[in-house]
Amino acid sequence: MTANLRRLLLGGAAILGLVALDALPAAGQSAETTTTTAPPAAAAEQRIAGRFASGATPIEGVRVVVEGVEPPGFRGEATSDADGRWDVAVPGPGTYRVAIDTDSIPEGFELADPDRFELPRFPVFAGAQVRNAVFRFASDEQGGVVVPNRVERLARLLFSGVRLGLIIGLVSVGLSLIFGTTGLVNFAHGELVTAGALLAWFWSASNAGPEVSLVLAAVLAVVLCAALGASLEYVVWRPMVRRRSGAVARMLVSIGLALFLRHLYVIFFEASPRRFRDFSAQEPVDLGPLRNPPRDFAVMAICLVVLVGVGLLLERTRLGTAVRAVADERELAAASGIDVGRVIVTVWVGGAALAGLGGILYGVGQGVQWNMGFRLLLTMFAAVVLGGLGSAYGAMAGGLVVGVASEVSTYWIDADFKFAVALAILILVLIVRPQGILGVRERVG
Amino acid sequence: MDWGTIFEDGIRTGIGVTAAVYALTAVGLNLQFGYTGLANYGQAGFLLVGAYGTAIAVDRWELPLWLAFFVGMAAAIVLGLLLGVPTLRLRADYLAIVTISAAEILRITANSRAAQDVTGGPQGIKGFAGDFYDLNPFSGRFTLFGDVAFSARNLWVIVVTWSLVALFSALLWLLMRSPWGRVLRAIREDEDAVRSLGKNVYVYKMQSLVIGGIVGGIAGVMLVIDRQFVEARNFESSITFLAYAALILGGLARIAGPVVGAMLLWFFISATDTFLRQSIDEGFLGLDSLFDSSDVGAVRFMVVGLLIMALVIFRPQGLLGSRREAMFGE
Repeated sequence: MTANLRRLLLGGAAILGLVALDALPAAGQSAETTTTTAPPAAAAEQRIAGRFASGATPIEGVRVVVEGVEPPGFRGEATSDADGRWDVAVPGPGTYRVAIDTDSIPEGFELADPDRFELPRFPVFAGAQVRNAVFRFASDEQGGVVVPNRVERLARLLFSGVRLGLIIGLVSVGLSLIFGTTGLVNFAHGELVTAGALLAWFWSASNAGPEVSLVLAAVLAVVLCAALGASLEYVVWRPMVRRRSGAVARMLVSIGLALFLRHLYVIFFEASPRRFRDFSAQEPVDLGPLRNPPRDFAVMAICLVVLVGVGLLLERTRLGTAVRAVADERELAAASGIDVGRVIVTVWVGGAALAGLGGILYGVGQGVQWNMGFRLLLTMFAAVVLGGLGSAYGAMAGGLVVGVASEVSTYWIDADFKFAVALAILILVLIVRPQGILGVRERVG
Repeated sequence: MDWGTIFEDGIRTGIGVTAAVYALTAVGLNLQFGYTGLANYGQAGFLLVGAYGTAIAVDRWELPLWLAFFVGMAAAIVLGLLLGVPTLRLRADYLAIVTISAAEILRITANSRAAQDVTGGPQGIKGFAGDFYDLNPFSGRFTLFGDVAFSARNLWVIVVTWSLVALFSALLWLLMRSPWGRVLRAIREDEDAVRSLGKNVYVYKMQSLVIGGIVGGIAGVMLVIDRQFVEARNFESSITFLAYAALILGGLARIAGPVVGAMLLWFFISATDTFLRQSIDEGFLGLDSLFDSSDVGAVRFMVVGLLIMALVIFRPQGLLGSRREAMFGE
């Protein structure tokens, strides 16, 4: 549908060729996707090729996977040789996803930007040629090899753990407060996260969109997420409460809603991962043991400011006090004259806005995809249960713990299992302290 | 528009292996959710451990298939116990959160390269069900009517899977007429009341979770026997929710509910798939300007999501259920 949608949006302009260029950074921004064209190969086939090196040192044994995006179906692999060279023959022109298997990078080498392990939409044009896909590995000024030591590796993991934890905390506040005020375990909360990221991507980086700056797009997306949250409350949840539907029924409806929204996203935005254009090509900054692009620090600063702001709102304003009162004890709050319905709408608006913002901030580092929110849902649940279902501060603290634990765990265990760590925390908490670290001791059985 | 083909595609899928596997999955969910009120959102995990347990036992340990089958069942029992211990004493939402999380973790783990030696990682495990097909008594091609025809191999899997559905439906019927079944229903209606009668609610819930999980495990085995190939992608959480859709459509806490629901759901899914594809090809109703053929799979899940929402809100008892029994613990 996307191709058709775009054609409609652009009034029939011939932009099909441009779609493939979505993920390319603006000219001169970065060497990441340098499009050096090698001399035409003798054979009438097309290849994607490259060379891995840190400075002057070639890197051997790195596995590359090439998958067809448009047309889909193709899959090829190669491993870099002693000179660091690799190439993969592809069936023809089209768009391909070129990704490094980060586990295959030998000890002592690392990518200049760890988030840039893939080129999600790498175009191959018609005509026999070799297309160079460039991945940059870290090297010091002399062109030598950078070997992070143990302390540096741990410090970096801790840093990305805090970054992930702050984002999880941000998106979980709404999930927890919605549960506290309405009793709904919202399985569609992840879809609000995805909505924020996809809308911001569409308005800022898609060729079919208006291509405004990411900051403006993000503001618009957060506002739209807030509106989406409020309309869900009015259209779906409030009528259900009025029909006296139980908690389990509402949980099932939230699952149906999540399935619906998630696949709506696939149709509108396609399934392949995307990247924001702004802030995507930044030189990493050395800060002690850390080596991160400035955007990482900005993302964390925004998270912190917003979380502190949410805390102040909850503590210092009448509305915030009302929200905490309703989350604590709904009947008592209603009896003391608080307009519970209004509080619930406020929580939906605020929670959905935070979810959307979290999705955008996550997307700045990790990219944007239709199922990103669903993949985060598990860690969000872990954070919320850990902090105590219904508590806003619990969600923030729980998010931080879950984020740090899952990132730092990759120092010892395979990165594939980092989400399993979140589940382990979840189960452990349920056995030891079901009310969560900040929850009030009460019978939850 | 070829309505005959649409109808035949619907029938073929509605009585085919996929529908039978989902019926079996939903029979397990019916025991857990329909009768006991346990919101198990991780049934896909039970299918996964059943399927992988069996495949690994054949492929890696070189056991005969019938013995490997019991390895798969044992894995499902262990998973049920592991999930039940921390959650069954708590509110229903905790079980939901932990089960869906566990199912996702199992899928990620099975797919990971670290587990490649055991599960085959992204490559999966191929061709472990030879023993099953050696027993195939059918030969030639079986035609029901028109283009609704099955090969001998397909027919064998279909017959066995639907037989299992019948077997476990009968078993569930017997169980639910027993005092044990009445305790389960009572737990769904009012847990505290049952506890005050001196019943150990926790043990009953655990039995329900484990037995339902075993049925799910068998569904997983039949799913991968049919494909002669097990890979983690078969066990996405959407499997659980399609089974929920089938269960609620047919009717919660009804023996025939999962069977009728799965057949109708898959008739509907397959017929709409074909309808959409044809519409896109022919430009029918302008649908070709809205979708292209790669969207058909996504449309299916959108429709299922809407179906779940509509059923739970407007007709929680589905087609066969009684409203009194399907109020989701109001």
